[in-house]
Amino acid sequence: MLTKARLMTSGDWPTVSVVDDDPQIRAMVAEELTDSGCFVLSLKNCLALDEVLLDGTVDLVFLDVQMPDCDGIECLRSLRARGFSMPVVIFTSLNDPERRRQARDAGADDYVLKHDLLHRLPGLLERFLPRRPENRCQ
Amino acid sequence: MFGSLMGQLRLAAFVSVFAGFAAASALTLLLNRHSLLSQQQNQLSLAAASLVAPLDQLDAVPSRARASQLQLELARQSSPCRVFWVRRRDGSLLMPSPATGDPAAITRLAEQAVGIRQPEGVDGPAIPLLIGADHRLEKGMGGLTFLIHPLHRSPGGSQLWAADDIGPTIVTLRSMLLGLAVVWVLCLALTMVAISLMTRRIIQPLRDLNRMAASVTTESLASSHLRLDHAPLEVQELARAYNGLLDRLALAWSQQRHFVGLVSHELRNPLMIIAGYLRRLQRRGQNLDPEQMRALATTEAETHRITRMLNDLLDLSRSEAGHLQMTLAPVAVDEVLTTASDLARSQLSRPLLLHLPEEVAEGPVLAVAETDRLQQVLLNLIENADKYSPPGRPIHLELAREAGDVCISVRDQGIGIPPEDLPRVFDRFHRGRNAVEFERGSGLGLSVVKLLVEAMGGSIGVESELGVGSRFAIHLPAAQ
Repeated sequence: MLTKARLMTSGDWPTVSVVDDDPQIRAMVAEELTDSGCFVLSLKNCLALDEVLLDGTVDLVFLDVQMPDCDGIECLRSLRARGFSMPVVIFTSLNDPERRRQARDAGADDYVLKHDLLHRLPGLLERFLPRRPENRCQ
Repeated sequence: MFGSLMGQLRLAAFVSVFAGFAAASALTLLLNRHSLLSQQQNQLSLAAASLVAPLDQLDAVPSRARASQLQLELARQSSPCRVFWVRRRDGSLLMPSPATGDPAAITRLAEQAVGIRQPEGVDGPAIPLLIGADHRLEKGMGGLTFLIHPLHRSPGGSQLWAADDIGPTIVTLRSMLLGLAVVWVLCLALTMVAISLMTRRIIQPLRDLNRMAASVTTESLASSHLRLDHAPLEVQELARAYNGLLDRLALAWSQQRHFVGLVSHELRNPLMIIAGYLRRLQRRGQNLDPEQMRALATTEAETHRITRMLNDLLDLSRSEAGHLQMTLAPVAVDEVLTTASDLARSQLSRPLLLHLPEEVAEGPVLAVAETDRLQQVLLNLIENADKYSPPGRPIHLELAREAGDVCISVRDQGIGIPPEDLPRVFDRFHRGRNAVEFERGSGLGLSVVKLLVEAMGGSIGVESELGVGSRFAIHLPAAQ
């Protein structure tokens, strides 16, 4: 279980959570985010995200849509209903205008296709986390 | 003409009508002749009634007085067109006396009839008749045609003969034959027209079926059903069988589409992981030599290619399922072109030259489109140009405004497209003759390009010259 103590150790680094059911994708995105100067919480479903949010704040969320035990867009809707206003980026392999519209209506800040994610990551971080410390690897 | 069902039907109908009509006409003619002749025979028999008794008496008790009396009676019953005479038991002829016409001519006729004298002239043997072996036709006495036959045979062996002019009967029969021939020709002509129209009508449902079947495409499989309400039973059965076949095809086709969609979707995540780590390795790898870096770059480029192909497949399967939707909005086309050419340049080993109009400096060139899809279209076209150009030749990407449209063109100096392949260049799985030899490919890229451009409300065209190059031009509606 992720504790508040660990969250506190992140210092000045912004906290970013990646919610995806595929551990390989989680791991890869997490590595990329860590390299970009973020403290990463890698979570396998929406329930885990809810637990993390009980304990502390998250500055940015990457949220998958299709997960076995939950739907990312439903999860986002419930987050917004409970008053969480941090930026949320939906990332999915579904390039479906209907899904895009649903995500926007649920309060998503962006909708990114998975194969574009790494390419667009620097731009997204610049947009949503402008006060991030210098990336140690760049 | 007789290779077709219609030709064969026409021939069969016409032959049976012709045969039926010919048989009916022949029978009519025969019956007519028979009735005319038997009428004449009856008249003869009536006339001969007064001759039979004197002949029998003469035969029983021959005497000169009786013979003279019979000759007188023969003369009384004879006329210029009807002659009676007697052939006696000993073969001698008893002619009517006094004779009504030329006595020599009548005697000649009688002698010809009973076979004592051969007929004169070149007429040859007498014409055989179908009404009896002892009947014969002879010409004589001023060209009249006589039907000659024995009328009565007395117990003593003498015969009563009659020669009757049948000229009027023949004339009647001839005119009847002529009338029949005229009616026949008219009827056959009318029948021919009627048969032509009827066979056309009978065949029409089959032609309709053929036309409908030919218009079924993979896109219209599920919605196509052949309807022939007024067709004959057999054709309706054929249409039903055909509809069953269409249903089964549509089901198989939809299952295949579903499968393609599922597979390409499931393949995307692993591809994303592969592409991601390849990218990370190239960027973060500290101790890779140039050869290893090149290998990684090639692998990454190929991964992108597979991803694009998967996207193409997904788009195709979506469009066939009717699920390809676009969110159309004004798009800054010049920016999309810049992004696409930047992306493409990172994977190309040849120059890619971008030509933007001067007005870009004043503001973006806007068209109604969807950014991602437009980019996909451009990347597909650039990849296509790259595949079919010899190394080092540049690719040109141009943007222009044309009367309410925004025109984007991708021009190469490649191998070109043969004229016979040009009309089919956007067909799915179609690959040009020279393309197959030049480079591998799926034959999907250009069909997806056309699909996407048309879904955005635009159009695409191609010009090409073998060995010189090709130019693909996209027209999109300009946004205000």
